[in-house]
Amino acid sequence: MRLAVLDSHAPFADRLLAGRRLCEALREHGHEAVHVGLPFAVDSAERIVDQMLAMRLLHLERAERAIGLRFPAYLVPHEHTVLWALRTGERALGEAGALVGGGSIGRSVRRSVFAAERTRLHAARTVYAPSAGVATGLQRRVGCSAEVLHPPPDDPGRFHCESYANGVLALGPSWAAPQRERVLAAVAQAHRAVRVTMAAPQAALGDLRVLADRLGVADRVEIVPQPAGEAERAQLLAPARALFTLDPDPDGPFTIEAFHARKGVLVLGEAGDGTLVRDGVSGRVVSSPEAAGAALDELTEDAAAAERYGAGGYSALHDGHVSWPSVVAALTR
Amino acid sequence: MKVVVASTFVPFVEGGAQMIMRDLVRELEVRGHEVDTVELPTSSRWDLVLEQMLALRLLEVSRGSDAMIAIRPPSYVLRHANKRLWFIHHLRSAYDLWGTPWQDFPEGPEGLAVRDAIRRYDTLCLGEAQRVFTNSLTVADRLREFNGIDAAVLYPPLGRPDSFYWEPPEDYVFYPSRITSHKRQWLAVEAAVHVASDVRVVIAGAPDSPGDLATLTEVIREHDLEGRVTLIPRWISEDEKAELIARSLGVLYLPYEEDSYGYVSLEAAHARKPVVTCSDSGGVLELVRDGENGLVVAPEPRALAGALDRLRADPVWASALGERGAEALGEQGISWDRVIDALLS
Repeated sequence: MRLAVLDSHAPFADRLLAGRRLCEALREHGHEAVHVGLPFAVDSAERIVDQMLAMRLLHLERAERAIGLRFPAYLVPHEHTVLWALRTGERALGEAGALVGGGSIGRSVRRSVFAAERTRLHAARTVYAPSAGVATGLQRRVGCSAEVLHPPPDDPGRFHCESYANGVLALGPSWAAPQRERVLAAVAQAHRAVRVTMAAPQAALGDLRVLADRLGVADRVEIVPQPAGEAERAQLLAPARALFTLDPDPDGPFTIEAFHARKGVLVLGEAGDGTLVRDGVSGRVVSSPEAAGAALDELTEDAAAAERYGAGGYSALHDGHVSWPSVVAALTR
Repeated sequence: MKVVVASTFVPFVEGGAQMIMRDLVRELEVRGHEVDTVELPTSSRWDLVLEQMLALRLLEVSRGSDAMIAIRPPSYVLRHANKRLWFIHHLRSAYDLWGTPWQDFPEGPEGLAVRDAIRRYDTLCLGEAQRVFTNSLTVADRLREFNGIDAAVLYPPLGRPDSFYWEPPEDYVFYPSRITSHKRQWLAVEAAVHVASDVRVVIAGAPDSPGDLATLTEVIREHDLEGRVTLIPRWISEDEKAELIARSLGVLYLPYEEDSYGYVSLEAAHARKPVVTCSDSGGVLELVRDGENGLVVAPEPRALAGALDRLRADPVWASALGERGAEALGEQGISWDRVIDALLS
């Protein structure tokens, strides 16, 4: 089948790895696949709408099916579209943050984003979401049912477990600033033996170290630059005790990678029905920094529990059929 | 320098623009530049052109980069404060192909209005560029004639020139190119009807459409040319192409008013093989001189057949033409250093 994979990226900011890897997987299974990486950058609220319109005006020739991955690229029209909503409009708005704002223009932009997304998702043959959380969001926001299809890492084989000897690794998307502050607050609630390595964007390192010092946890939290890619993340995960995910989505890509490395995952937030992370099985799900501190204590003091959560996570991947062949089978069904 | 290289493409169609883009990106990176690419899908349907131009105009590619190099039309409508063009051709139906059999716009006021709008918008957006280069004198002349823009010529070098080599010629001439009407593979097939020698014609390339392939196979069948014409109707690998060129008497490149010399001509020159082309083939005539490094014939089957017979009758002479083609390359100053320096100057 001739498949066009619709992806969007901000030049020099996003590397479109999932889209390119998906094309490789499709070709490995005998399909012709073209990666269509469309530029999308947020420099003002109004420009989001301009770029949405641009996507609607583009034409895809010769493709038998379009696979839409990220907002707004999946707005490009095609009569046979399957959506795998790796970045929804809501996520794009979240990344845009203050640029969209809560004023009248911001509200109008939000309405436009959700209206366009609603139209597109309802016109698609099938909609997949990368996690139960995203599926719930799509149902709530645009009334669209989505089947969960977890994206595997680019190279799942590079994630492995060396030991559980190091402390807990706190990792997440670069924009997850509030979550980093909550990790520091959680460490402040934990016993003195707890050790955490937390990754953060270069620009945030200084402020986070000042905050760690103020909270009295500077000697227990090592704040390191955000790893550049999957290989560096795999290296950090291999000796870690567990992952403290900074991704608001408990089943985000960092969790999937951790499970491949047989590490349990600590979630400070909510994990609804159907998530891979299950409290007491594949990690811990807690709702306050105090409870997160207690969970850090447990992971630090009980290596067997950490190992058991890691095994639970690894099993969850297999039970959930998280693999590139499963992705290809679903998207070409 | 952070450079965005922008172009357009038709999904599932491999063309020269993609080769230029890939080679340019690699050569920029080799020289230490940070590069990202923007490749936008487009359709050449006349009734969709204007809305696609609007779409590209609305996109945002300028953030975080120092310069943008735009290649295939209409990527030059993208906005960037430091826009540089390596302009490889117009949307030709609205320009030099207007009024020819290859004009795929309708006659009448609507087609004319779209054509004129494209020309006006092109002129506006092309005029925003800090530097404009073309891939041939032919394209530079068209830019001056239609848009009033002066451009210097930067001939695109090959990505892997060393992969082309010479072997003793066998009994065939080789035409590697996308199979489409304006590349005129049918001219090579019809020439095979008129040749006096046992020279064979080998044609290889992916057909643009089932109709393009059917036209060729019909002519072959009609004239019972199966033994004389070999048709390989698919994209062939670079290695396969290099080998077929290496063992050929010469290479055919017969397009109608093509924009540039075409990679095929350059590949032939690197393999020290002569190029046979037509007097109306456009940019290729900037490289091929009749009787010096190739043959230039009238665009009709008997004239082409005569050229093929001459190559077959005297392979030593054919090889000498090829040798001079390789020498001419050096005189043209075709190099990536020159291209990158000019584009980023």
